[in-house]
Amino acid sequence: MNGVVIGVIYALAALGVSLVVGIMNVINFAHGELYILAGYFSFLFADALGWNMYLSLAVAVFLVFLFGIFIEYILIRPTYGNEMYSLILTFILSIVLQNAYLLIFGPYPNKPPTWIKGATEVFGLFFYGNQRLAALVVGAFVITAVFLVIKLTWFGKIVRAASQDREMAELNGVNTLYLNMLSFGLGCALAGAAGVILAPVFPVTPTAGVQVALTAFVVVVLGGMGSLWGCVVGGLVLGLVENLGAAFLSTGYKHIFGFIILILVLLIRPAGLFGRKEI
Amino acid sequence: MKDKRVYAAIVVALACLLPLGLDEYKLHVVINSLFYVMMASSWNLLAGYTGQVSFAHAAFAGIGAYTSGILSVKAGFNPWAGIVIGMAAAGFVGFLVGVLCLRMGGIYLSLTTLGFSEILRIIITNEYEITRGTMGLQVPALMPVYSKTAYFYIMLGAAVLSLIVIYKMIYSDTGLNFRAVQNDEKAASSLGVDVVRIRVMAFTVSSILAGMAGGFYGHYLLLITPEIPSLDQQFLVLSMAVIGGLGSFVGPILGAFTLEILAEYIRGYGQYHVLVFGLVALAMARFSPRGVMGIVSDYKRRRNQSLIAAGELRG
Amino acid sequence: MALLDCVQMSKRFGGVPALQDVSFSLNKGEIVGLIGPNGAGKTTLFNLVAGAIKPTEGRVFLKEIDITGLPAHRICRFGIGRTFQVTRPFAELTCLENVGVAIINRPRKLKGESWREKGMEYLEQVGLLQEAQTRAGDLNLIAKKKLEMARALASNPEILLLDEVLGGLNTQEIGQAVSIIKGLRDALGITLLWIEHIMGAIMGAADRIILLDQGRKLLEGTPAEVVRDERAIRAYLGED
Repeated sequence: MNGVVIGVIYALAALGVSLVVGIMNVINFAHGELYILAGYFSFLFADALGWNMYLSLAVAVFLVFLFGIFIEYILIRPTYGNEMYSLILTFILSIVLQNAYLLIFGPYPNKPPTWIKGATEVFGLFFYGNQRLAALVVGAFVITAVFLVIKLTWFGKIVRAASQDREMAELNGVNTLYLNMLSFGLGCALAGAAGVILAPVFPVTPTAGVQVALTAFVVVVLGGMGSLWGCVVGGLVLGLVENLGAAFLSTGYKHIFGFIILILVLLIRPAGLFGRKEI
Repeated sequence: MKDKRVYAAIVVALACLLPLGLDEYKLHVVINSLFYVMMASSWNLLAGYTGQVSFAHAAFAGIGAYTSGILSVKAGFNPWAGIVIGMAAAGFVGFLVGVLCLRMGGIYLSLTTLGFSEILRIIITNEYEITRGTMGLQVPALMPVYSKTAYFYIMLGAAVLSLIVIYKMIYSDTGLNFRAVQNDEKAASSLGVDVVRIRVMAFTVSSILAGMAGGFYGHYLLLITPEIPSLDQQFLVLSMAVIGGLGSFVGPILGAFTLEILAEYIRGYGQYHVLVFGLVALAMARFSPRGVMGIVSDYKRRRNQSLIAAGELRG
Repeated sequence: MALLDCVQMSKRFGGVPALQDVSFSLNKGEIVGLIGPNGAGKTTLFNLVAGAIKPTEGRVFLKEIDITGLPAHRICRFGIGRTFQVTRPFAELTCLENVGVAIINRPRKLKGESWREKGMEYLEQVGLLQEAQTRAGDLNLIAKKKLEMARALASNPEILLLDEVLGGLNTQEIGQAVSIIKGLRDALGITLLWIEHIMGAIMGAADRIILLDQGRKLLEGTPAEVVRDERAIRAYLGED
C-alpha cells in the first residue's frame, strides 16, 4: 500500500521531467528545487500568512508555473540546439536555489498544515494516515488530468506531434517558441503540484529536492524518456521495489534501489520500458 | 607553440618562488587552488572539448582520496602507491560508467553521474566502520615530517603533470576528434570517428585525473570527509571552469585561482560564496558561454579586425 | 560482381513506411543518379547505406561483405563516404581541421606526411586553399558545400554518396561543380551515388538513374530512358 502511494507520487514528480524532455530534449536539473519552492510557498501562505489552505495550494502551483516560464525565457531559450548548456545552466540554478532557500528559510524542515487529520482503517487490515490517502487521491487526480489534457485538447495534440518529431511539427507551422515556454512552465507546475501535495507528509528542507529530482530521473529513464505512460508505470515499479526492498537493507540504503534500477535499465533496455527512441 | 612553452616555464618557475613570500595560511589557499586547477582543467577536458557534462567529477576525486586513504590506513600501503591505485580505481569506475551511459548520449551521462555522486555519498556515510562517515578518515601524510612548503611543491608538480597531459591531449589527433565530436557527432561518425569510443576515452581520462587530484588533496588535508565528493564541491569545480572559460586551456586555471581566493575572502562574511558564484556562473553560461576567456578572445578578434580595417583605410 | 549491392531494403519509422523493398546495385566507376519527389525516401536510403540508421528489413553488401547495420564510422572506414543535404561542418574548427578529422580516422595511417599537409591537397582540390585557417562556421553556403565535399573525399572513399550538393548554386557554379564531380570519377575512380533535384545536371552527368516514389523504386534506366518514361513524367518530371 505504501509502495503504491509513493509510486503515484514518484510518477507525478517524474511527469513534469518527462514532458519537458519529450518536447524540448532538455533535462531540468532544478526540477527538485521547484518542487521544494512550491512546498515553501504553500507553507508561507497557509501557515505564515494564514490564507485558506486550498487557495494557498493553487497560488503556490501557479507561482511555480510562472517561475518556470520565466526560467525558460531567461535561461533555457538561448541554449536550444546546445544540450550541454541547458544541463549546466539548470544544474547551477538548482544549487543557487538551494542556497537561496537556506538563506531565506534556514536549514530546518518546514511543514505546511495537513489537510486532514487522523487515520483510516484500510480493508480492516491496518491504519493509514489520512493525509497520505489524500495525497494518493489528489496525485492520481492530477495525473489523470494531465493525461486528459494531452489526449483531448489542442495543446495536447501539438505536444504529441512535437514529441514525435520536432522538425516535422515545426515544418507544419507549430510555434515551438510558445510550445516550449508553455510546456516548460507546465513541467515546473507539475513539480510544484507534487511539492504541495507532499509537503505536509514529507517536510521541505533546502536540499530535499536533490533526492526528489534523482527519483524523478530514475523513473523517467525506467519508463522511457518522453513517455508519459512510462512515468506512471515506472513510478509504481520504483515505489513498490523500494518498499519491498526496504525489508532487506538498512534504511540508510533506501535510495540505492533507484540507482540499481537505473544501472539495470541502461544495461538491459537503455531506451526504457516505453522508449520510442530510434538509435 | 615554442613561445607558449617558454611562458609556461616562466610561470612555473615564478610559482616555485611563492613559498618564500607567503605565510602558512596563504600557502594553504594556494595549495587549495592547485587542487581546483587540476579539477577544473580535467572537467574542462570533458565538458569543454567533448561537450559532455559529468556531475561526478568531485565523486571521482572522492574515489581517489578514499581508495588511497583506506589502503594506507587499513592495509598499511605507502600513500604514494595508494594515490596511484586510487587513480586506477577512479579510471576503472569512470570507464564502466562511461560504457554504460555513453551509448545513449550525453543526457544519460549527466543523469547517471548525478545519481552516482549521491549514491557514493550514501555509501560513504553508511559504511561508517570503513570510512568514518561524516567524522572523516584520518590519513597519513606523504612525507615523514609534515611541511606545507613540501606539500606546495608536490601539489604544484601534480598540477603541472596534469596540465601537461591535458595539453598534449588537446593538441593531439585525439583532441581533434574530441572537438569534432563536440561540434557535430553525426558528421564526425560519417567521417570515421568512433564517437562512443572517443567519449568514453575522454570520460575515463578526466576521471583518472580527478582521482589523482583527490588522492593528493586527501593526503594533504590528512582528513578525508564526504565534503570532497559532495555536489557542492562539484558545483565549485563546474563554476570555475564555466566562469574561466569552457574549451580554453587557460580559462579553468584562472577560474580556479580566482574563485578559490575570492571564496576565502567571502567566507569571512558567512557562507555566501556558493550563492554568489552560482549567480555569476549563471550569468556567464547564459551571456558568455566561453567564459572570461571567450570575452578576451572576442575582444582580441574585434581589435584585430578594426586594426586591419584602419590599416586598409590608411593604405 | 557489383561493388555495392542493396537487397530488398525497407525502413519503417514507428510503423510508417519510409522505404519499401528497394534493391539496386552500383558498379565500380559508375555515376548513379537518385531522383524522386520530396519524401520519396532518397535520404532515408542514403542513411541506410551509410549506417546512420538501421534498416527494418534488407541487406547491404559491399564487395559481397555484409555491412548491414554497422555503425556509421565503420561503414566510412570500409570506404563509403557521404555528404549531408544540409551541410554539417564542424563550426568551431578551421577548414583544415575539418578535413583533418577525416584524414586521421582513415583505417590506414598516413606515412611520412602530416594531416595538415595532406589536408591542404584536398582543400586545393575544391578551391578552399585561401580559407584553410577560417572557422568553418564563418563560411558562406557555397564554401560550406565545398568543404563538405573535401571532407568526404579526405576519408578516401571508394563510393561517395552525394546528397543534393547543387542546391543553392547558380548556373555557372553548377557547371563548375558538375565538372569537379565528374573529375572524381574520371581521375580518382570514385563510384558515385548522387541525389539531385537539378535535372539538367544529373541527367547529363549520370550513367544510370534510379527513380524513387513513395518509398518504392519506380524505375531504373539510362537518363534517356527515364526522361521518356511516362511513369517518371507523371510521378516527378512533369511536376515542375
